[in-house]
Amino acid sequence: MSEPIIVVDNIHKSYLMGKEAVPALRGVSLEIQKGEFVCLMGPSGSGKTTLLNVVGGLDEPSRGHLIVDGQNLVSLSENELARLRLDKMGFIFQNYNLLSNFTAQENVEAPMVLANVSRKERKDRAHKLLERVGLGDRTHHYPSELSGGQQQRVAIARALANNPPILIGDEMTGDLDSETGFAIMRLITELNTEGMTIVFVTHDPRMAEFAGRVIELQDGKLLNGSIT
Amino acid sequence: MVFKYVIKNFRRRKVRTLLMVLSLLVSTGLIVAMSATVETIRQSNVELIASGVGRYDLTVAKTDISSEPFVEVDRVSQTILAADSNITAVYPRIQSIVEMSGNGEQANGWLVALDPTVDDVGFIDVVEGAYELGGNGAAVLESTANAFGLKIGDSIDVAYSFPQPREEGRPETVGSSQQRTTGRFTVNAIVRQDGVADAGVRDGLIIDLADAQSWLGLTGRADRVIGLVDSRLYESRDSEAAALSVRDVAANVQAALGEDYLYSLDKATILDASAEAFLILQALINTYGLMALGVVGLLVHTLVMTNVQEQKREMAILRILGSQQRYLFTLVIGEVAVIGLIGIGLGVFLGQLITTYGVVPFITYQMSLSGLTARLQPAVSITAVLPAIISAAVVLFLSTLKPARDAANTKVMHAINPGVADNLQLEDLAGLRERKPSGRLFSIGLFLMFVVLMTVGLDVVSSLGNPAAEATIILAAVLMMVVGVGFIFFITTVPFERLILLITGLIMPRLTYFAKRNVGRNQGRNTLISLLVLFSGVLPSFLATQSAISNINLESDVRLNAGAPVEVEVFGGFGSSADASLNRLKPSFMDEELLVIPGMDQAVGLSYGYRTGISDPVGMRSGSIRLIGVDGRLNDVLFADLIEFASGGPESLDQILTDDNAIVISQGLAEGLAVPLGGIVKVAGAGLDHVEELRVVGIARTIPGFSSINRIRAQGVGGSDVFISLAGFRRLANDPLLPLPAPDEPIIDRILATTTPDADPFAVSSEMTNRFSLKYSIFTQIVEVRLEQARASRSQEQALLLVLTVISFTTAVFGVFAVIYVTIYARRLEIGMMKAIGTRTRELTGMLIVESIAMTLSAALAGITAGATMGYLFAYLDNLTAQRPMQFAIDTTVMPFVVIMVVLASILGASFSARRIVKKRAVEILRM
Repeated sequence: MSEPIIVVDNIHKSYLMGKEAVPALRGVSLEIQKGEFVCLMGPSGSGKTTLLNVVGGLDEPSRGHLIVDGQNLVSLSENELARLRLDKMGFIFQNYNLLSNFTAQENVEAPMVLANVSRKERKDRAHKLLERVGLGDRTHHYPSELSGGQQQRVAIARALANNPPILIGDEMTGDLDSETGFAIMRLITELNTEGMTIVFVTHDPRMAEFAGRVIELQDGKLLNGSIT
Repeated sequence: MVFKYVIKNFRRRKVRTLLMVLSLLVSTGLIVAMSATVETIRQSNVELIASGVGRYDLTVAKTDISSEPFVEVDRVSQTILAADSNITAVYPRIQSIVEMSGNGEQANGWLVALDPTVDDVGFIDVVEGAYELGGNGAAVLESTANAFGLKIGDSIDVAYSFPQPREEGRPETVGSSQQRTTGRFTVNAIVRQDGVADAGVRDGLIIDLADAQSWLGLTGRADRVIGLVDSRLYESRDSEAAALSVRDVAANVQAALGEDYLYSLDKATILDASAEAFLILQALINTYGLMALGVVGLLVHTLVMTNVQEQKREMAILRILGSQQRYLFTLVIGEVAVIGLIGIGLGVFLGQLITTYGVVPFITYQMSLSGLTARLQPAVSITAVLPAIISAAVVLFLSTLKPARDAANTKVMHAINPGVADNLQLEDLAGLRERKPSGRLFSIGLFLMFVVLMTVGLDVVSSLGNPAAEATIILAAVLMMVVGVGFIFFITTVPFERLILLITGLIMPRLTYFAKRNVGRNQGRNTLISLLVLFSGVLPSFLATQSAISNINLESDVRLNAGAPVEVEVFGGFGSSADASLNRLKPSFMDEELLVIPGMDQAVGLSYGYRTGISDPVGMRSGSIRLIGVDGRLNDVLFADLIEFASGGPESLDQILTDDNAIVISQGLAEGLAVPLGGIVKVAGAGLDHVEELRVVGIARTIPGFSSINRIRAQGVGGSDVFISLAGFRRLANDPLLPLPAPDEPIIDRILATTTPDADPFAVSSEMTNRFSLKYSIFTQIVEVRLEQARASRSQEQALLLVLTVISFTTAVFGVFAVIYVTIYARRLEIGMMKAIGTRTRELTGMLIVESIAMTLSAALAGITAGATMGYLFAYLDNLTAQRPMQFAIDTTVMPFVVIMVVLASILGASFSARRIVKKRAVEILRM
């Protein structure tokens, strides 16, 4: 087995609900190896999305250590975290979160603009990525002119823009019909087979079947750390 | 329940609520301040006039045909005080031109004798010594003290000539001996006066009336009494009404004293003349006020609409629970009413503060720059506050109406399935069957009819003479112009936007990449903010451009009006031609009296204008003219650079001096009569069958000092000036059956002259006033002096414009802020996503700032372009019709200020609005 790319060590996370602290994660520890395809599952309120956000550097843990690709995220500043997300992670959300005023191509280019990729290179790369997700003929379409599945494909292409080693997905297929959902998962699987580490959250056991390992959470704790 | 809901909403949306309260507070405050500014400007106008003509309202003196030229102080004072209860004080004065000598110097100056124990009219600034009159002590005016080199304790001799009554129906006998008496006074103080007498009293001295009476043997008498009327008479917002109230007082005094007295109401007269200008100023200020409120209306509308959209689900739940539409409507209106109550209430208070500590000191300072000592009181009356409160409340209600109706129309589906809620529902079908009269169609109809309504309306109100209605029509016209031009130039926001983004792209390419796409492709959202800024920019830019153009053309306009460096003009008392003819000057006046003044160089006399008919040789085309006899080379005195001839050249003005049958006419007249250079015209002379054939030797397009000389045909044949030699004039203006008048018969009506290059124009002006002001009914004007006055007046206009722009743009800034806030709030998911994919906080704020600047600055530039274009167009048309040369100018004060304000508002608005969101973690934003 290759070396771990994500190490989660005794992570705690609480949210303040009014004056009361509500624990979302209670001492979660796990390792995800480079090239793994991991699915986080659990009932509502189990902490799976919180864990995903913490792993993705979108949220900070209240306690514990988190190492991503050799970097301890807990010690990073907000700007350093932003840089890490830009370089090492790609995000896919349930509601796609595309920039509405940008075309498909421009949406894919956006992370590359932030990473100072040259104009020509980013145009070429964006076009190739869109072709790869099957939207080569939709590059100049705005999100409002695309179907849900197509929008999610654009989101996948955008997540791949800076060649990140890790792909984070939160209910990627939640808003899609089964057929489109399966198509998206097949695409994600293809990326995994090329060596990309995938961590995603889903409610749908059919989508979880695509993963190499399913981690179940309940009440902020790993249920069994089981591997499917 | 409604109150509880409103309070909860305030807590939930603190920033938005605060923004609405603040915008209302600022706008109401500014409108109160603006209304108070109108009042303060009106006060400053009265102050300005008072400072110029003396800080008293009425002067009563004996007529020059009265056998007793002096006034019996006690009797006359008591009669005046009893004549009208509005007269609050009466003071006797002796005020006359005297000959002064001291320290080996001699000159004419004013003697002002007053009773220092009671007469506190005007202000005395002591430059040196102590202002103590009595015991033959005098306060010498600074100008005289400087000219004579007088110091405290020096003596000054004063020679007073007693007035000689004129025989009724006959002119004053020139050269007749006058009784003179001389007195010696000790200089106790060197002073400047403001409003003690009129502004022309710069040279001379002030002494105790008792000393003057004893010296002149005039115990119990004075040459005039001055009266003060209740200052509340000037408090009317209508200058004309104020002036007429003072006239009524004077009429009562006249009824009590009789016809043996002259009554002078200089302050009221000038105030009356300024009424029309003040009306326009008021309309202008009201326009600014309405525009500021319009901006607040848009802001409130946007924020309340956002609130309603956000609460749709909650409202739908209330509907499911059985809430009536009226209840939801009341919820929204109630929320805004509470905001309005707080904002407007505090705004009134703010307005008072701004007026007291901002407007009044600023106007006072500006007046002091022009050398005027202003004593202004902050004027925040109920008349200033009430319209502001009513207008703000109305705007608030109108801007809330649509969101409140939207709230009331919330469908239950908004809670059950928001996606289909906006589709046609069963409850909509009932509405479709109704056929209500449409308010929108009514508004469109009214708009289409507006031009007709305005034209007819202006005619009606002009004929009825209602200033308030006239001001309303003018206001509506200005508003229409601003809105119309704004809409026309709205299209230019796009190229301006592109230009701005091109420039920012060169400096900040990454930030601009995102801003460019958001700004360029989100037209719907940008329209509101663009229009808001654009409208705010039009009026200030329009006025600033006009002001800049008149500033740069000020000198040429003044020179064009005056004609020559020095202008002497005869005025005709009450204006009947018989009276005017009595005051004309003899041609010998120029050599014997005018040119002997030190500093005078050359002078040309012009006869009075003889109005007569003119036609082509066969009488097919005809017109009327004003024939003017010229007694000298006009080319020697006129501003040569402003002379323009269509044919014949300036030398034709010399040619008419040697040929009594030669004339110079205007291009308009030449074209009207279709007469070429060298052509013959027939001019009717005085007496029966007196028609002479004259030859046109010059056709002038512009001659400075003669506004009727231009190329407008209608003006040419409608009474334009025609120049002829003085001999030719005498011949034509005289009945051939009567003998020609003597060569030195008074015929001169106007003199144009020059000063020597080393002459001090102010000294020449002062000397001419001293020598001629009492002896002749003439007024003298030196171009330099007129220029100085015009510049002072312009600087005041500029200051006012800046105040108005600050006021209107402060409100616009709030509008910009609110729209940016809502825009950013609405895009929080995008911002969250951008953050998630690795955009840093600083970069995100930068992108939003670039977006805001591009949106608002492009609109401001469009507004400036619109305003400036209108300004240039108006100025060009004005000059085209007036046939004056015009230089274009760019405003360098107001327009840059507008740009700076807009950029600052964008930066602050975007930074502040974005701060709350971009500082959060990506996941928190995405959860919002």
